Amino acid sequence: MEEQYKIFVFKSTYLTFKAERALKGARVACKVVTKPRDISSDCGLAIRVSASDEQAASKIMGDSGITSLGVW
Amino acid sequence: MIYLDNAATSHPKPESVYKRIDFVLRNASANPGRSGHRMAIEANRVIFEGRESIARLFNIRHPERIIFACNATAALNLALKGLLQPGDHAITSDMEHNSVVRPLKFLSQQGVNVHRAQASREGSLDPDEISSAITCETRLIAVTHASNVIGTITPIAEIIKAAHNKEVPVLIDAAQTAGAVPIDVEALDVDMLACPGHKGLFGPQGTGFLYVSPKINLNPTVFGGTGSRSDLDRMPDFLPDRYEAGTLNTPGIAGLGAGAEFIFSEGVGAVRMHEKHILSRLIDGLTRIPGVRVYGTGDIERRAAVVSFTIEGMDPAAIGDRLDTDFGIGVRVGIHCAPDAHKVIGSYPKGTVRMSPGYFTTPEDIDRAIEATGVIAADRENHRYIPVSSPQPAIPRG
Repeated sequence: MEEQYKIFVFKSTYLTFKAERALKGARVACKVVTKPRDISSDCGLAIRVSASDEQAASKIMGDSGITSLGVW
Repeated sequence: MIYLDNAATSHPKPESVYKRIDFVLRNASANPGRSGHRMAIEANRVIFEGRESIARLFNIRHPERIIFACNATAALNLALKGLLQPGDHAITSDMEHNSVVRPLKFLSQQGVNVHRAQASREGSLDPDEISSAITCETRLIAVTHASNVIGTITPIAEIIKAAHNKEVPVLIDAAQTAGAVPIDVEALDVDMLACPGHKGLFGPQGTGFLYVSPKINLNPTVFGGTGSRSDLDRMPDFLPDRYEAGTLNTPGIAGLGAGAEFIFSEGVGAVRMHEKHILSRLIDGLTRIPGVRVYGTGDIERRAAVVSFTIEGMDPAAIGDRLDTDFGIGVRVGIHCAPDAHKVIGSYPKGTVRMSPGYFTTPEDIDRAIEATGVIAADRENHRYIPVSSPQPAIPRG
């Protein structure tokens, strides 16, 4: 079965990498990816995690004071 | 050569700085913040880590409020031109570098009223005098943390406290102190801090930054692409993007980050202790030479690693030439882009010879510099030329 992903989008690149550091520090697998065009016309970056890690990722980022613009 | 020009640019750099720049330039020098391929993402990570390293060194709670610039001058221009508007009042001092003097002169021609607080002959600024110059229109106080001519350290904690009592923010020009004198941004409640990357922070030239506290809102002074909110025809409203238009200096910032990490691991206190030790040795040695006049305070605690001197009856340029040519010692002579400071200490217009040691300067380097100055001063008195052994060339020939 194909793995399902969730995409976290942030206001800035700085926050994207801050989120990556927080997630890696908590051993949650993640990848910095280009924002999908159907999410944003922006040429920025986003964080991709496994769909099964969405809640854990949200909590870790919340605990680190990192606010995402949304999850897709 | 014996390099005593660290106040202009530090040399050498820690080995880790050379290695980091080389690695990043070879492996991660895609455009940060634009593309999404692996090398561009790695370049982004380099920028992120550089910001974090600087934040850790200066105890900055909000690293995203560190704005990378190509030097302290660009950082100061952003702070001054981004904040001050016609009709505003600004306070500065007569110990400032032209990187503050010239933007303020430009702004005064646009209708900003600038007051210059007078320093003592030793370059000291009085917080009470600065505070008493505050009016209801005062929008900013801009002062150097240490004179680039005589090294006198400004009591920034007292000035910030006095300014905040009257709700006026303070811009600190840390060109001569960043990395060499402890600066705790949160404890001091610094509003804006401008730093070069290539001096005490051991980064390469072409680097620097401005820290802007959450209390300060600047207008951007450079406009262009940021890789974020590209759909807008105006600058994003979030930091650091709002003030970082155009491609950043990724390899340079990598080196700056490595320099900040080096200082953090050594400890700014250790850097300061070493510099005070060699500064004391240098001032003591120079002061003993007949005909030499050393400027500034003798209190090492109130002095950054900058020493200005003159030899009676000699042109500073001639002294600098002989130090370089005959002794292989690199110094800077003249008025060091700070003409008003020289007027304060009485060395205008000829200026001084400036020796600025750094963390890698050894006591033996200092002894050699003192000895060479002694020879030059004696030569002046005896009107004869004393040949000395040829120095090692700075760059191997052949």
